[in-house]
Parts: sequence; structure tokens; C-alpha cells
Amino acid sequence: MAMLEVRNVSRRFGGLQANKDVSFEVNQSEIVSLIGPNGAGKTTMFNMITGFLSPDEGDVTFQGKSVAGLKPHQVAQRGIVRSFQITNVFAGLTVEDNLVAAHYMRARGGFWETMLNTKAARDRDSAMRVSVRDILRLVGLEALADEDAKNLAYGKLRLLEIAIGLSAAPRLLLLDEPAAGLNSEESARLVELLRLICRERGTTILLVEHDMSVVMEVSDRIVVLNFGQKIAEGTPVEIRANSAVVEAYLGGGLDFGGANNA
Amino acid sequence: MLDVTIQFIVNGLVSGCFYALMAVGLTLIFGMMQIVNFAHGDFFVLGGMLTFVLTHSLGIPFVVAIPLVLVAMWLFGMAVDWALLSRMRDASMMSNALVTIGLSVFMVNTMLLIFGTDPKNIVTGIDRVPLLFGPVVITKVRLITIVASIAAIAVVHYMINHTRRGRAMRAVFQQQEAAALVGIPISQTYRFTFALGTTLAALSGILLGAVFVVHPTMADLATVKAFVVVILGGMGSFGGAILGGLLLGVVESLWGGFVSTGYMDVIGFLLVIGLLLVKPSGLFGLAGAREK
Amino acid sequence: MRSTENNILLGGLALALVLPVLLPDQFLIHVMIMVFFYGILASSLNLTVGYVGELPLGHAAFLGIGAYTSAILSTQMQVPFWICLPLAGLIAAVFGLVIGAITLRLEGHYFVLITLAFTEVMRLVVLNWVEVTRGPLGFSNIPAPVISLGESIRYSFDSKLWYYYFGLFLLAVTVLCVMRFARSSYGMAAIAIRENRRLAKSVGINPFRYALGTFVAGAFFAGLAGSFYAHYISFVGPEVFGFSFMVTMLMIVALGGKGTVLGPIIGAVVIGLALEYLRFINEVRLSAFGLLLIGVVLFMPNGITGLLFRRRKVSLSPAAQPKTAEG
Repeated sequence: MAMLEVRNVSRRFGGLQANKDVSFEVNQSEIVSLIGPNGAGKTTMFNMITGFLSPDEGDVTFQGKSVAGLKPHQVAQRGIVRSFQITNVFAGLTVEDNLVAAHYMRARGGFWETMLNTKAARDRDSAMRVSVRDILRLVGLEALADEDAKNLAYGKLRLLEIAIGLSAAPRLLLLDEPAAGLNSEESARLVELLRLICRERGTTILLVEHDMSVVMEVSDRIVVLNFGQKIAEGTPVEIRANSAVVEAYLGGGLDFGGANNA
Repeated sequence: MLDVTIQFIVNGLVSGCFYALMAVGLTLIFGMMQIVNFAHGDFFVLGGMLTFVLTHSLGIPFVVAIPLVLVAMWLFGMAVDWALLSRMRDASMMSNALVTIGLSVFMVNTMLLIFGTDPKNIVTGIDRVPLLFGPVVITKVRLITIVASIAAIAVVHYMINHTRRGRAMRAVFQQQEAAALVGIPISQTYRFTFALGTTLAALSGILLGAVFVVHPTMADLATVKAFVVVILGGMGSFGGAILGGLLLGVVESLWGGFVSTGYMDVIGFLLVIGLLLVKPSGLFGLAGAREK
Repeated sequence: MRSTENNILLGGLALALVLPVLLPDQFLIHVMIMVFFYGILASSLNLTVGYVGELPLGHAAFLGIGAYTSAILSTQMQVPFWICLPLAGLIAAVFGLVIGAITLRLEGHYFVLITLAFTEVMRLVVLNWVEVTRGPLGFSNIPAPVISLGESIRYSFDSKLWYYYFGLFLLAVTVLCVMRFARSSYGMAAIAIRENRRLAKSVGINPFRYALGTFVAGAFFAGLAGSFYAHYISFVGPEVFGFSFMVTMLMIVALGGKGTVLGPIIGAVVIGLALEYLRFINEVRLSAFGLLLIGVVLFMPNGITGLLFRRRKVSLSPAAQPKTAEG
């Protein structure tokens, strides 16, 4: 059984059909990319998977259970954690505290346990702190742990977002354009990081991305949307050769050649 | 029975005028600047107080005093925006709220110091002979209140829809970033809006002082009532503020007349609580409920 | 910052314990009792203001509910103080649950106004429902706490000194609870909601539940403070629902520094002392308050604790080194 199953999902906003009858799957420990020209309905799909929107039709199941219509925090509690298209961090907190906050699901305990600060609570606390350090190291932000998030350079902010996502112990991590605005060096490191996350932590990753070089490098499979519908699905090699996909891009989409979008 | 009802309704419309003027001003400020102006009731009272001083102590005729006070209040509003609010453009909602609360505390207590707690009635020189329109009794002053309110609102409406300033205001209200990009001076527009809003409140206070009385301890209740109207009408809706004001005035009047005067003030709050439970976007307006 | 904060609090506690012995001035003791009262009240407000980031302008309602509950129970039904106090807190908490469940669904500005509306309604009800609340007269001669063992032994705790130490005890309990809250995952969740609600949701935090829980906790402590106030002052009237308490609370939280455990305490000391010792400039006192509030928001948005502790690290990790203004 696939980890995530999107089945015949549709969503409209007034007169605009954002997604129409979209179906795809994501399997455990895969890295899948969702691509398509602007307005193809990718972020709407993300919103529906993570509970920020409900599908009009169709269903989304995660590990066999339906998640469509759940509230965002409930979806997160099931193990699906997302990042956002526009940089979204806890700007007023330090980098370390950003991760501490995001560790909430792992750190929380019973009411009396917490209020009385029992040994169990303190142990959980210690484990959480270790996890924070680990993730900071993994992502490469260890040196900036005490820096206020709002002072970070753009590239580091995007790394912080991924770190925040990881802190919530996701089984499935959804990343919305993680390479946006990154230069080629940063993009290469992102690819490495994503592979590392998938390999070492077993985290399944679904990403929306415009940067084709990243997509081609990192994805096990690619799903292509256009005008809200799925037009192709397959490995990077298959997609590159797919005429429908090429057509969609020639019609005002993205640069396939491997150069980054600034 | 019907006669009495009509009388109550007419009285309510008069009160409604006061509410409407205040609410329109508050809607402009809230809708445009996203600021909850807790000092609104204080501007309202100050308008009345200044007019009282001019007419009572300096013997200036009512008709002359009005424009003088309005100009003074306009300048005061601009000054407040310049000194306080302009520094808070990017601050949080809470900081802005706290600043206006501080301003309100300062204003109300200073007014108490200067003017005392006695209610003041403004001498208008207009005779108190009641006019009769069928079953309805109304004094000239109240009639003038209605006329003046309509005139003021009409002027503001014209200003917003047919002048350059007004266009700027509408642009900023709808799409601030775009407005800035085309060169509309945001801060100045905010200042103008704040001055306009608070001057409308002052006018309301002047009229109330002429019809009834004004005193500093009214300020807090006036502020809250103005917000009640703005919420009922939908934050940011001009028409909603007017209708909401009139509605509140009439409902309060009917309730006070037929049920009891003690709980009269509660009606508005209960309406708001009820409304926000059922329809968080107000009667006409923009969303008040949290995102999912 | 945590260790410095702890030290200051402990130091303050030690000082407070011996103060009546060092300076046995009745007026000072009265002032300090009011400081403790404001400390509990401001800490309760700070839970929602500083940690969740909402402004419940109706917070005074819970003070009033606690005060009236205690007043009615003790004068009309002879309920002993030791039961009135926790009951006042619980009933205030229940009101908090109901009001919070309704109002926390609304966006920031609306929340501010509707909590204010609720308080105004309560004030008017209390003012008019004379059968139960005695209207504008309120309740007087609220009895001091009493311990009676059988018919013959009856000790009445009505000395100022007793109120002083009990008030200090209540404050200490409040501070301990707030500290545990702030440094636990609850506090972190509340801060996450305050900083970025959408992001908090995406990491599994239910904003409504935490906001409500914090709000109810705030209501509980405000209710306790109200009960304490009622028995100390021995008179309660509709003015407890008035805006003046609310303004004082806001001043204390803003001046002391919202979102810290220490802030409301420092603020309570400063404002509490100022309120009483500056009575001689009574007329301008309140106007000055307004200006002070404006000044604090404009120039000292993080309050006194913000000035003292330049780096405000909220982390649970004890590795945080306190950085003071000189450091």
C-alpha cells in the first residue's frame, strides 16, 4: 500500500477549477516531485493534503486512513508536515528555539507530568534537546543556533524551514518550492540534504518545485500537473522524453535545460 | 401605542445619528489603518467640551463655534497621528491598541481635571419649542442634528468618491502595496484618514452636547458603543456603519422605552455577541473569523 | 536568562519575607499587599497577552467574577474563606472556558472588542441585578478568613500582616505555575502560536486548544486574585468590572515586560508603589499613567525586563547564558 494516496481529487474556487480529478501515489522512502507551470494547481494540492483546504471531490489517504477534511494540526499529528511557499519561520525566535517549538509533538506530555516536572518530563526534555542539535547539524545550521531567525540570510532561512519540518518528526515531508531563490551551489547542497534526509531518516518527501535541475537530480518519480490535471507521471528519464510534458512547458512554463530560475 | 412607537423610533434615529457619525469615523480608521482606536470616544467628548467652552465661557455663537472646533480637532487628530501613530505603522496590533488605550486614559483624565465631572450642555441659542409632525414631537435642535449628520456624511461620501484624496484613501484601503507603487503617499493618507475619523467623532460630540449633555466619563462607553456599531455593520463598511448606527439607536430607544432603561446599554453588546457567533463577518462586512 | 530570572525571584521572595520585620510600617505593608494582588492579576493577564499574544481587554471580568463569587458566598451563605477562594478561581475559570470558547474563534481585533463587550455586559448586569448583586451598593463587611475548631475556638485572620503573608504565598504559587507553564511544552506551544499561527498548525499544534487552555488558566488566577481582594478590602462593588483595573493590569504587563515570568512582578512592584505613594499628585496621576503607557509602548516595547536582559532567549535549554545589559 502506498504511503500517500491522492484519488480523484478536485477543487474549485468560484469559477476557477484549481484541480481536476488528480490521482497519484507516494511510496515509503521515495522522493516525488510535483511539477507544472505556474497556476497548475500544485500548491492547492499541497493545501488539500495538509488540511489547509478540503477537496471538493475525491479523497486523500495517508497510511490507509483518510486525511481529507482534517484540520492542519491534526494532519501534522498524523505525520504529514509541510513547508510553505513564502518563507515561514518563527521570526522572533532564535534558530534553536524555532526547532524547539517545532519539536512540540515529541516534547509534549501529560498535564500533571509537565506541571510537576517529573523525571519522565525531564528525560523527554533532554531527548528533545539532543534531537534539536542533531537536526541543526544535519541541516548545517549549527553555527547559527543562537541567531534570531529574522536575521538569517535567505538561503539559510530555507534551510531553517526544512529543519523545522524535520523537527516535527514527519513520516511524510512536503516541501513547497524549497529551491526557490537559491543559487546553484545552494541548490546542489539542497539535493544532497534531501537525499540524506530520505536515506538516513527514512523520511518520505513530496516536493513542489520549479527548478528542473533539482527535480531531475533528486526525484525518484515525477508527477506533472497542467491546468489542474495530471498529464504525466514517471521517472525523470521518462518525463524528459514525454511529449505532452514538453508541450506544456513550451506553452509558457519552465526552462527544462537545467539552468536555475533566479 | 403606535404613536409611542413612532416617537421612540424617531428618538432612536436621532441617537442613531450620533452613533453613525462616530461609527463612520471609526470604520474609516479601522478599515484603512487596521487600528483599533480606543480613544475615539475621547475625541467625541473633547469636541463637545471645546464647543461648550467656546460658547459658554467665551460667548462665541454656536454656529461659529462649530467650524472652529472642527478645525481644531482636525489639527489635533493630525498631531496625534504624527506624534504617535506614525511611529507605529509597522508595529503589532497589540502595540497599536495599547497606544490608543494610553491616549484614551490620558485624554479622559486630563479632561476630567480641566472640565470636572459635571455634564455640560451646550447653549445653542436655538429655542426649545418642540415641533409637531403628526404624532411625532421633535425639537429644532434634534432636527438640526439629523440634518447636520446627513450633511456631514454626504460630504465625507463625496470626499471619498470624488476627490483625489478620497481616491487615494480607497486605493490604500484596497491594495496598500500597489498604492505605494503608484506614488500615493501612504503615511499622509493615513494621517488624513485619522484626522477625518476623529473629527467626525468630535462633530458627533458637539451635536450630542447640544441635544443632551456631554461629560468626560461618557468617553469609554461611547468608544465601546461605536465599536459595537462598526462590528454590526461590518468593519470597513461605510454603509454598514451608518445603518448599524441608526439600527442601534432605534433598538436602544425601543428597548429603553418598552422594557427598561437600566439594561439599555446591554442591548448593543448582546447584539454584537450574538452576531459574531452566528455570522462572524458582520451584517455587511469583511471576515472576522479566523482562518481555518 | 533563566538562572538570573530565578535568582531575582528568589531574592525578591526572601526580601519580601523579612520586609515586615525590617520596616514595620502599616502603610508599606498595605502597599505591598496591593503589589502582591497586582502581581497575581498581571501574571494572569500575561499568560494570554505575553504567551499567546492576544489582548483580552475583558480580563477584568474574571477579577470581578472572583470577587463577587467570594463576596456573595461568604456574606450570604456563610461559606468559609478557605472554600470561597478556590471556588472563586474555579467559577472564574468556568466563565473563562465559556467566553474563551466563543471569543477565541474570532480574529485578533474582534477578540479584543468582544471580550470588552462581555465585560461591559457583566458590569451592567451586576449594576442592575439588584436582587443578587445589590447593584451599585455592592457587598460590604466581607468577613476575614476564620478558623474555627468547634464552638469555642475561633481565630480570625484579620490583621494586615496575615494578609501580607497569605498574599505573598498566593503570588508565589502563581509564579511557580506560570514558570512551569512557560518553560514547558505548553509555553512553547503558546509562543509558537503567537509567533506564527500557521506554522504552529503545520507542526501539530492546535492553536485554539492552547489559546483556550491559557485563557482559562488566566481566568482562574484572576479569580483567585479577585477573591483575595474582596476579603482584604472587605468591600466589593461594580467597579471591579470597570476599565481602571484593566488599564492598571495592562500598564503593569507592558512596563514589566510581557511574555516573561519576571515582568509582571517587576511591573507590579513599580506600579503598585507608584499608585500608592504618588497619591499626593492624585489628580494628574491617572493622566500621567496614560502618558506612561504610550511611552512604554513607543520606547520600551519589551518593558523593563527587555532592558535588563538584552537577549531574550525563551528556549527550554539551560545552556542559555544570561546576557545582561553590561555583558
